[in-house]
Amino acid sequence: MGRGGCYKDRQAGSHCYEGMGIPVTALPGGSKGRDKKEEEAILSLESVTKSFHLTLTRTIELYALRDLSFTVGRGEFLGITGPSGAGKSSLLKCIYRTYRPTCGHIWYESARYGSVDLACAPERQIIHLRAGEIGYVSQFLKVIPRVAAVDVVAERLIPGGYSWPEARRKAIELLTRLHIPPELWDACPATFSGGEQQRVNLARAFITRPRLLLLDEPTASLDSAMKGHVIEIIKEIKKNGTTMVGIFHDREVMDRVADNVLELNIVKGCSGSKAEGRAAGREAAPWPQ
Amino acid sequence: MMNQAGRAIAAVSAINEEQPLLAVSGLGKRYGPGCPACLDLQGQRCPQCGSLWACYDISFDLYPGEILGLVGESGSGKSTLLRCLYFEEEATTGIMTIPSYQGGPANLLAASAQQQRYIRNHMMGMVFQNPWLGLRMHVSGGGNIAEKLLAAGVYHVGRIRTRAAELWRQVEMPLPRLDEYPQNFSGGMQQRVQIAKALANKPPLLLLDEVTTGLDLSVQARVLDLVRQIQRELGVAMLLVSHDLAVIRMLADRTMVMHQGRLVEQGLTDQVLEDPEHPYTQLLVRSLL
Ligand SMILES: Nc1ncnc2c1ncn2[C@@H]1O[C@H](COP(=O)(O)OP(=O)(O)OP(=O)(O)O)[C@@H](O)[C@H]1O
Ligand SMILES: Nc1ncnc2c1ncn2[C@@H]1O[C@H](COP(=O)(O)OP(=O)(O)OP(=O)(O)O)[C@@H](O)[C@H]1O
Ligand SMILES: [Mg+2]
Ligand SMILES: [Mg+2]
Ligand SMILES: [Zn+2]
Repeated sequence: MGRGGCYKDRQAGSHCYEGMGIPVTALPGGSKGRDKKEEEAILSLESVTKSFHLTLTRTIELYALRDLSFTVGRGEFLGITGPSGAGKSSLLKCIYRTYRPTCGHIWYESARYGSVDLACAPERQIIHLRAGEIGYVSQFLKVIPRVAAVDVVAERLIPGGYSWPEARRKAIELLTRLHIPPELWDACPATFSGGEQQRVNLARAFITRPRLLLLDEPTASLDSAMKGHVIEIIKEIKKNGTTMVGIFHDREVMDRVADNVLELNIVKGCSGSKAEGRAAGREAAPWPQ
Repeated sequence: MMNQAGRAIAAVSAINEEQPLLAVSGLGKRYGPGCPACLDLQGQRCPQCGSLWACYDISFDLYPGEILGLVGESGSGKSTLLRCLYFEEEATTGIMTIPSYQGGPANLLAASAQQQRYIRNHMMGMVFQNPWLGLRMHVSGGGNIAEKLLAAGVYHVGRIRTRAAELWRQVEMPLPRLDEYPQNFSGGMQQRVQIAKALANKPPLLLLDEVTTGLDLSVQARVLDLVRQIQRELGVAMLLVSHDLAVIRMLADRTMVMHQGRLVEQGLTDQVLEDPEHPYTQLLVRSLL
């Protein structure tokens, strides 16, 4: 085991040095050759593959993503769509490093560290990025027992140096905007409805105003009025410069927020499922007809 | 354990980033005579000399203020590792350094007993899996705390009383019972007294061995709240052993997995739980789903 170092150094060797905060000298294709669009990219995936090597009953290799490349521009909202099992959630989890990509690079332009390969950056660096720059909204809230909703949200500000009263004030502001009734602020979200939990979940991510926000079906359990409020906040955050990658089942919601859409497809005839990116970047972003 | 590239990366990122509070490398603990065959051991028991290696070649870094989880099956050496770090037990092999202590480089596992005592008394606190090891059952609760304070060089009786009462309150123990023997306390109370004792010298490092095991659920929740609060408000770094993955998920930023005396996996907690690499970890995680 590497100790917080790049796990890929066991397999591959030196290519992961580039993401370690050391000046990047040899980006694939050469940094001089990068065109303008790439220069503005805040997130750039290069041939990302994620497979699961499962050893429980018999050994199986299961592909969730195969050779996926795309870029996301600064301040852009990239929507992700595709059938169930196409690897949409896996893609977000690879960017957040809940999953470790099997191959490929995920370049992220960090405010704190410069160019970072999220596929193999040290764990402590990822922890700092999660605290300050990269947010993730999962489909379900992971509730911490006995912690009040307001604190679930406020605690995200504590590592950034906020005092508790200050953090709570900001949390309440946001909970109000998301129409969580005041009598729920001091209750533990364990007993909340699905939609209420989802809004607490969103508040947790929104409150730090991350530079990059990953959203996995953030409006799935909300009614249409609530969807409206959430979309409004998403747009506001976007206006403040946050780059977002979001999965939506709901085409209408997607249309209202996404600048570009990436469609993932299951390619048949492979062992396990195989996904490939159809569209990348601003030019090609076709909707499935 | 780690190749050259890994070491170089660890070194560089330490310069760019933060310094670990505690660095351990190649730590092993042998029960038995030992022999040359022990050098390339497969399991925990040496087939030549019959020695049992409770832990073998353990390397990791612990950073200031973080909670590092440690999981693994019964007998995999978790408690032994903690006891070695606390100098309760003499490690057979390995290097342990505290970079902030006297310039850092000295191997504390080989330091004089006096130096080890100093470090334990001033920089560490430990909660033992078995409260009978961590508490003197025939000395009052207050006396147990006083003992730790005396060891840390606090001799003023009034200050000791005040601090003991303060800690007693912090762990939510009823003040009138400060002078009672821990023998008479329930398991949850004994664990809380252990925590109070461990915190007495305001250490930057806590070693917690199954703090919630064997407690009923409501008491468990209170002890967990206490741990969260200590980390948030005092910024204490913790090495947290637990067989309860829910506890690990809730508290730990990073997690290490031990199997047959070795560290077989370490990573971000969500990654270890959702994308485990080692077959043993996969088994551990899946069996709890
Ligand atoms: N942790 C995991 N371990 C094993 N296989 C996984 C894991 N996560 C995802 N997979 C597999 O990868 C494939 C893609 O899953 P993923 O959850 O990314 O799909 P999705 O596009 O988000 O689907 P949905 O729309 O249903 O949420 C699936 O075949 C899934 O079983
Ligand atoms: N003093 C000792 N003499 C001989 N063997 C010992 C001694 N102490 C521990 N062991 C052995 O070392 C191994 C590791 O024990 P340890 O208590 O560290 O396990 P653990 O991972 O903490 O297990 P658990 O989850 O059950 O607490 C066990 O096989 C144990 O029997
Ligand atoms: Mg999904
Ligand atoms: Mg133990
Ligand atoms: Zn031997």
